[in-house]
Amino acid sequence: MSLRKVWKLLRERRAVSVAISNVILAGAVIVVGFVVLFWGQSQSTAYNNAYSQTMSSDIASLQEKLTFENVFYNSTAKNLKVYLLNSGTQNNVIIKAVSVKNVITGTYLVWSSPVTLSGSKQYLDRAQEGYFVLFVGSLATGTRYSVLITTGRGSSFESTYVA
Amino acid sequence: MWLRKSVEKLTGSSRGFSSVIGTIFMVLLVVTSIAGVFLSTLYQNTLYNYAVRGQNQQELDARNENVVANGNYSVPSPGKVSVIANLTNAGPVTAQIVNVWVFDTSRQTYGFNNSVGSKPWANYSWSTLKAGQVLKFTSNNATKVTVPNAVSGDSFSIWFVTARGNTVPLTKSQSQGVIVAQVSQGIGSVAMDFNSFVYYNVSYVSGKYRLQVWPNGKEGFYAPQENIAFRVILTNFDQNGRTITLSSHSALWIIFKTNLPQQPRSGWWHIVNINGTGWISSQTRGSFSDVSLPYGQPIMVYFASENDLGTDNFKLSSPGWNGPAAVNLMLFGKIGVSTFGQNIPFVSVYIT
Repeated sequence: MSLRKVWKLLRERRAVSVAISNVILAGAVIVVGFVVLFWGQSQSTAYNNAYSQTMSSDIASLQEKLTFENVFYNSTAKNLKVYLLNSGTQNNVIIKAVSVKNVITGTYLVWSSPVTLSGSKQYLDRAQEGYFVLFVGSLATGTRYSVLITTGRGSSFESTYVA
Repeated sequence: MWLRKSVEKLTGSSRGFSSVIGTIFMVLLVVTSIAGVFLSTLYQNTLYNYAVRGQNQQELDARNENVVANGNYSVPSPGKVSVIANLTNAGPVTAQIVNVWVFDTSRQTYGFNNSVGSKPWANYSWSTLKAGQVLKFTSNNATKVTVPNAVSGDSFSIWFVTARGNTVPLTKSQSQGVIVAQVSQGIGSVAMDFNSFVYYNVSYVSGKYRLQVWPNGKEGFYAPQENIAFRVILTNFDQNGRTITLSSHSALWIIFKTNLPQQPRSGWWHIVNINGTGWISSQTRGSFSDVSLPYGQPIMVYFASENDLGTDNFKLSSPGWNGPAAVNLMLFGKIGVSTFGQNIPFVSVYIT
């Protein structure tokens, strides 16, 4: 391109506004596009994270299992000693709450939360054993009671015994 | 010709090209976002399905777990319960015994032993009772459980706990007594080992009495007349698993064959204590310590004194007669907390 043509192009004013407006429009579209893209990505990431956490929690809850090794009522001290074994595949099983219910009448005697295990522990790891003591007052001899344990992950385990 | 013109027209014209590019970008953006969410969701669902499947398998294994516990118990000392059992894994899956519980229903006390899985004799570390395998808690390596205030004669409820959370109740073995009676190895609660019936010559050394040819002795079916002692091995098979305690009145008594009706001829040897090197440790009146026969444990019992050590000092015993004689065991003491007395025709001996 000769120098004359370049000079002519620079001096020519027609259609400049169209070019500028097109550049601005394209820029705006690109910016808005990227904003929408990043917003969409963040939303999908947030959804993925939330879903992943929900699934992990559900899986962990599913894999929890507590076994009642022994439930013993001490009629003198009027307390209940519950021996547990974490027979599931999850560590850190927290005993969130315990309730004791008369199976016949359906009345709740005790609702305790939180529960501290033997050795001042708050949780049972896999294959660990432990116990907790619960003051339940006088229980009717020969009556069937149930102990319901709710874990920190929301699982519940129940065992019945005869006082 | 017409097609070439159309293509040239399309490629030659730039009108609408930006729309195509924009649409492609738009589709790519949407697909990228949606695909990420879709794949992530699919992955999480897969994980959950794996977990559900694993959990179902565990539940199935737990339901299929079938361990059978058959045996008995004894209370060798107050507060200590000895559990003797055969644990048979009759199920298709490997089982893990992690705890044994003993509940004294008579006294409402209980105890447990959660070290059963680490017993060195069992070659058994928290995990191996394979399908069909039998784990024996015999009298020598019985599992001891501390149960406050438990005594012989109490009733117990015993169960094992597996790692999958199943409980295995101990079924009390009732067959031992029948088997014992069938093979004439025992009468009542006590079984005798015929093959280990031996005699010892007793020597007097520096004011003490000692069993010669210690510890094996000599075969007891033929014995000399002078200064002898006998050893028998007794096993307590009490149906209730109680411990038998033999007092100083217990004796081994022989009756000779005779044709003289007014002259019954006999000899007797009262029970004594022997230390670990063959010396008689109960030589004076009142020095005898009761001999304990815990359930299921073969115990060597020695008879050497003519006198009852509860009322007299030790005295060597000699039958004074020769010929064939019938041997009886006269046992006295306690079984659990109850008194106990039993006469057992045992073996025959020929005194030379």
